[in-house]
Amino acid sequence: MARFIYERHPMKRLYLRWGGILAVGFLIVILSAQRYYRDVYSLTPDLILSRPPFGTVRILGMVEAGTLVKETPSNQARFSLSGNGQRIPVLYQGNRPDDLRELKTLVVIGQWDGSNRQFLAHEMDLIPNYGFITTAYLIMLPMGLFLFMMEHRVLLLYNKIKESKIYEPEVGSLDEG
Amino acid sequence: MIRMIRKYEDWFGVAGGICIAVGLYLGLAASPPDYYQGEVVRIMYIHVPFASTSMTAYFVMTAASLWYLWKRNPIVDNMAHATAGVGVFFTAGALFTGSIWGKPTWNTWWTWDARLVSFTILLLILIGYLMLRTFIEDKEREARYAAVLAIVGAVDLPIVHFSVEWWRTLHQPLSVSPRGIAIAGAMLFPLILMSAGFYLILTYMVGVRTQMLYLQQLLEAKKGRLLGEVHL
Repeated sequence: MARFIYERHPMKRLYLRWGGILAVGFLIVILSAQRYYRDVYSLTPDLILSRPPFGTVRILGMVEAGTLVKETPSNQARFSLSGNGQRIPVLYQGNRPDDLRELKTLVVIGQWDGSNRQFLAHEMDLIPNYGFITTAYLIMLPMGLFLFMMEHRVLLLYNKIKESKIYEPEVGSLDEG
Repeated sequence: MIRMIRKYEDWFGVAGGICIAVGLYLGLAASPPDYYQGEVVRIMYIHVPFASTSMTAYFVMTAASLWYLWKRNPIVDNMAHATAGVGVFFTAGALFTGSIWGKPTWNTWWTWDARLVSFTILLLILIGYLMLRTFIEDKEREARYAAVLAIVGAVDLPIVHFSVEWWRTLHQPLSVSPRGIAIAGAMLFPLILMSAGFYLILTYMVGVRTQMLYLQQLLEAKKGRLLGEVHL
């Protein structure tokens, strides 16, 4: 069957192959998106206040100036995290509290304490910058298009040469490949 | 040569496609973020392969140009021409992804850094090569002049490669060099896969484009457009 398609319908073979490539590309996009929403996606302080979450979440925001208080012996830090015009109080207890600085934008990971209306963070992370990553990988699209256009053009040229009356079999003919 | 390209090109295409698909999955979904750069380190898996393959493409173009000047085989000239077309895409891709990576890490899209400038010159040489080929009517002269330009432009290759060692630059030095490997294994594997995939796809693309240029010339020659100056 594959041989029949290859020999009789080279254009169909081209479209089938590129359909497969698109399907694989789509699968990779889905897997990457799943991983993004599982491990990287961050909420903002306004979302935390409007819809208090359950379980461990990530919050992206900026450490408000003049709010950072570090308690060295207990490895704790208190500060306000702001974003989208809202701010929430954060109690951080974890590694590297020295990395916390005022006006620094970061991600804190922890749980929302509804009774005290504060966020209990145990870990912090860098800004994911996923927009940059997505934009960089989007170059695969023109690359694929460039390759597709070249393959398409080659097939058209082969067909043109074969179908036209100017075609004459030569030594080392193209058909032999 | 064209028959040989037709016979083996699919293997390169399929192998390259598999390497890139697995490399993309590992790079985007399975590899860990970097301690200092965080998630944005994932741009490395596409930027480094683009950069290394574009330099290889130029090297191949130079070798094909030397070969052409020696043997005057027009299909070799087609290959050099094809490599330049594909090389422009890969070189522009390296600059584009590098600029995007530079913004979150260096806080700038562009800086007058030795590596960036020498790489941009490489892109300009490739564009100049392609432009030269469109300006000259005589096919034989076009191929000869283009080959000379490619060989002269190859001076930029060692400058690009050693720029991070010769000058104090913002661009990081080589992570994989004879001095050792300065990259974690979990990040090295997807990087190797993506690089292998890009090399295979580069070979495939050059093969396809070489055929395309050859067939265009064949068609024109058959139609008698190049009477008396058929360059086949």
